[in-house]
Amino acid sequence: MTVNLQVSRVSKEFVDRRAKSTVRALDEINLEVQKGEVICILGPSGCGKSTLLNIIAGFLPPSGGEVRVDGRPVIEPGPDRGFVFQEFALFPWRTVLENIEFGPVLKGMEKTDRHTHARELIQRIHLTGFEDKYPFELSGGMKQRVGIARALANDPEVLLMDEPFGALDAQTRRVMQEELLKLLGETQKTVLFVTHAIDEAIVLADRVLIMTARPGQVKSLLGVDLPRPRERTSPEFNELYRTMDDLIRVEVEKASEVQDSDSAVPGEGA
Amino acid sequence: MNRRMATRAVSIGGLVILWFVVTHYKLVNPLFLPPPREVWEGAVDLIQAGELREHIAASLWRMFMGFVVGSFTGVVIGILMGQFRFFHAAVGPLVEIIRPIPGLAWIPVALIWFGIEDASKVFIISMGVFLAVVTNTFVGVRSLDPVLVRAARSLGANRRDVFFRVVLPGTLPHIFTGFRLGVQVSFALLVAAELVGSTSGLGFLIQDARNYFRGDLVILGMAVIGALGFSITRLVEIAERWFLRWHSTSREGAFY
Repeated sequence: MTVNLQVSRVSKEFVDRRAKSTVRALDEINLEVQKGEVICILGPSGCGKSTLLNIIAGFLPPSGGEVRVDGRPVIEPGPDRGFVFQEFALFPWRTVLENIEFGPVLKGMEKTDRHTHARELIQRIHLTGFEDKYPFELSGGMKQRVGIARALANDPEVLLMDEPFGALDAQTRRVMQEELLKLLGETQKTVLFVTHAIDEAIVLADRVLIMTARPGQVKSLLGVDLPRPRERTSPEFNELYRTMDDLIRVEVEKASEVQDSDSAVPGEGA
Repeated sequence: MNRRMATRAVSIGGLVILWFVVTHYKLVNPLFLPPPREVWEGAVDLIQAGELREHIAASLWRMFMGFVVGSFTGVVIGILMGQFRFFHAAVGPLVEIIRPIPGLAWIPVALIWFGIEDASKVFIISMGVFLAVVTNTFVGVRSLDPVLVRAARSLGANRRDVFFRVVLPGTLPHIFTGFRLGVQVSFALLVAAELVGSTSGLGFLIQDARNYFRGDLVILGMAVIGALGFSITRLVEIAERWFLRWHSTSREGAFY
């Protein structure tokens, strides 16, 4: 196994101009992810899990430490790290096909290759027939399928997913989790998946990273050694659920104490 | 659709009939409101003399030029203001000082600077269109969801790609709002400028006819302006609908 993504001693501080103080969002995060591994990141809100993902994506510079993808340091966003957003972030003026083709167009891929590639992805996300629809004509689940396909169209080394199913209803979430697993099984992508749903983390992850309350540190890194497909009602599933829930609960309580004493961190999603 | 067309025909036809009745039974002094027949004959005369065509062409040309100049500068400066804080700090106040000055107040100074030929009208119209477009463009750039820029960057877009493939299309709905307002403003300003100082154009036609007590031609000039305004507004709306076919509501709130 080769290390695909390496996060070394990454810290992040935000300057609060009004209060003339700095808020430490992340504190010396270390993480090594193997190729093809799925890591889910859990933690209380405001713990910096989205900030960490944004730093890996290159959207935010770390205050200290560095991120390497395949040995190359991250300095800015790039097509080697596909990003899937909670709010989908599809380009509303582009059709399904055009959204998925965005990356390949920038790469200068030939039109016919591009089309074949995109149509294949559309078929895999079950949106055949919707190629020429605009985002406003799609449901939430459909939009996020396009979001995932758009990220995969670049064939990235790493897929960064920031609470991608957070805006979907419970049923759609389940379906999307299953489809994502199927897609990942086919593509063998390395995935970092931020969520606050423990069951989602257990269903998807090879390992689950639990973060502390702010400043976010690695609290524990738990392997999920359950056979796939994972059964939510199995005793092993529930035991793992309880373990994680206990770990997180402590942090949530800490976080609510912290929140009373200072303001929210800028750049941190809800 | 057909029903709507029919309703429109009836409402416009009704107005003409009302006009006919009022003038036929001499309910108003024909000097104030000439009957439809007279206006029609006046129109035929002007068309045959080729004069109407010239006036329309003169007015449309000025409007077109003013619109092109005003909307181009409006889009460029609006985008620069939206993208660069420094530019906004430097140029924003100038725009805010110019904005409260009514377009009509520019007419005297435009006549002094540019004379009574086309240039003065183009200047006045472009001023009005610029103000409508610059503000809406600026608001459009500022209200663009930054997550779209992140999405583009993570898909491999450089600054140039972000500008042409995200900022520009994302601002288009607001730009069109500015265009729509600009068309309305430019009609008002054009006619006003032509009334005051001009030797051609529909505004001049009205003013000239008034001087010779040709009520029929005054009405004709007004009717032509109404018809042109209606058609051009429709054209802009059609263009908007095509360009913004991806837009669920297809209409943004206007800022002026």
